[in-house]
Amino acid sequence: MNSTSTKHFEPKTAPGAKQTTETAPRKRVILSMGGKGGVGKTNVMTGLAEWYQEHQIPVTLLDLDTENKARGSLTHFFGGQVPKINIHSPEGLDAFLDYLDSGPPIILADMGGGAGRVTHTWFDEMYAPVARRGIVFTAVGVITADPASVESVLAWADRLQQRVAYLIVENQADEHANFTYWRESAQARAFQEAFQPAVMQMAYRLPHLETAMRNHGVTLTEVVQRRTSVAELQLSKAVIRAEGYRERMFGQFETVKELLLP
Amino acid sequence: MNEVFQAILDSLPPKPPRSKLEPYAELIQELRKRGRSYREIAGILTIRCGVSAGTHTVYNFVRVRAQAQKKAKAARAGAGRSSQTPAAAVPVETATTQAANQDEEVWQRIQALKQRTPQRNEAEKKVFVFDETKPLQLIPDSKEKK
Repeated sequence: MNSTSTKHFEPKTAPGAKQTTETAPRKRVILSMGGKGGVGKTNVMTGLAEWYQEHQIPVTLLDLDTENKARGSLTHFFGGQVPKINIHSPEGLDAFLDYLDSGPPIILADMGGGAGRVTHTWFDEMYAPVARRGIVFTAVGVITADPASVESVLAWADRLQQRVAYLIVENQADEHANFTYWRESAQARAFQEAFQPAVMQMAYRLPHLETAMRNHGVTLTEVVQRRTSVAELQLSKAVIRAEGYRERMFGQFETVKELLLP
Repeated sequence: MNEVFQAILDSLPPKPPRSKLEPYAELIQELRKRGRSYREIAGILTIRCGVSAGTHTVYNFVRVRAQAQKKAKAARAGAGRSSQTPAAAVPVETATTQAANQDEEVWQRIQALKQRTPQRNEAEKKVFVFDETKPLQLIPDSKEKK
């Protein structure tokens, strides 16, 4: 995306995030906590990119998903505007540092499923000098009814500790989704008490719309604004549905916006 | 000098050496020239001379003397170059004291550094621990409520 809006905003300190910077935050990196695949990480990141776009806030999108899947990645949705970075190589990590040091005040980094170890190592080695430059982090964890999604977030939190602010998205991946393991397990409760994460919901979406958007790499905004050539996504029922989903999702982002802005 | 003052000075016993290593200065200097470490010199002094001295004490002794000699030499050279600066402008004793003070400050900094608690990595200050090998445990109370 990397739009060139000149809109300015005052830096804010995210509540619940004991992040150490010697200066006021000047950049926020929002990264998805990889690990469990298929929980809707890229959906959330795509939605976030659209939310920033809506508010004309420039964002750098980075696709750090090294699995290189063609469909359903940030690159698929936003095309050549999204640099793909292989963080498993030193060159990739250096490129990431370059983005941290310049460009828009927000970076959206979509981590792949296998990004855990390398990200944790990166944090151990690089967090202090990066934080001293006024860069703060929000880690986005997506939870479904699957306990593995909860375990994945908790495993990341065990390594990232207080160096990031946590945003948990309860993704209603199916109509009767429940979040028992997220809400009522001892380990998840311990995480919640320790870090007091912000929590938001992502509403269930009808599969036919979701699948078509994913298949063609079309965003909700593109459907709402009828900027797609995909016939099934031009139908009124698709457009109106997409409008509803988009409004609810943007409404949820509003409730946690302090973790989404520098 | 006034004769009375001179008489007083003459009546006083010689000032004891500032360091217990002073009598061994020549030996220590020679050992250093021969490439012996401060630790080795401390060992030789203990075993061969019956003087108990730590490595740091030997190090301090050598450094202070070296600095004092260096400053005295510089003062003499300065006096030779400038007719306005009398030879006694930088007395050897003052140079020695300054060097000793500087050395003391260095050792104070070293001691302070040693005593400082190492700053732990943020990740080490764990406020949350998750054991991936154990399954998630539902809290019995909340299960009953449902």
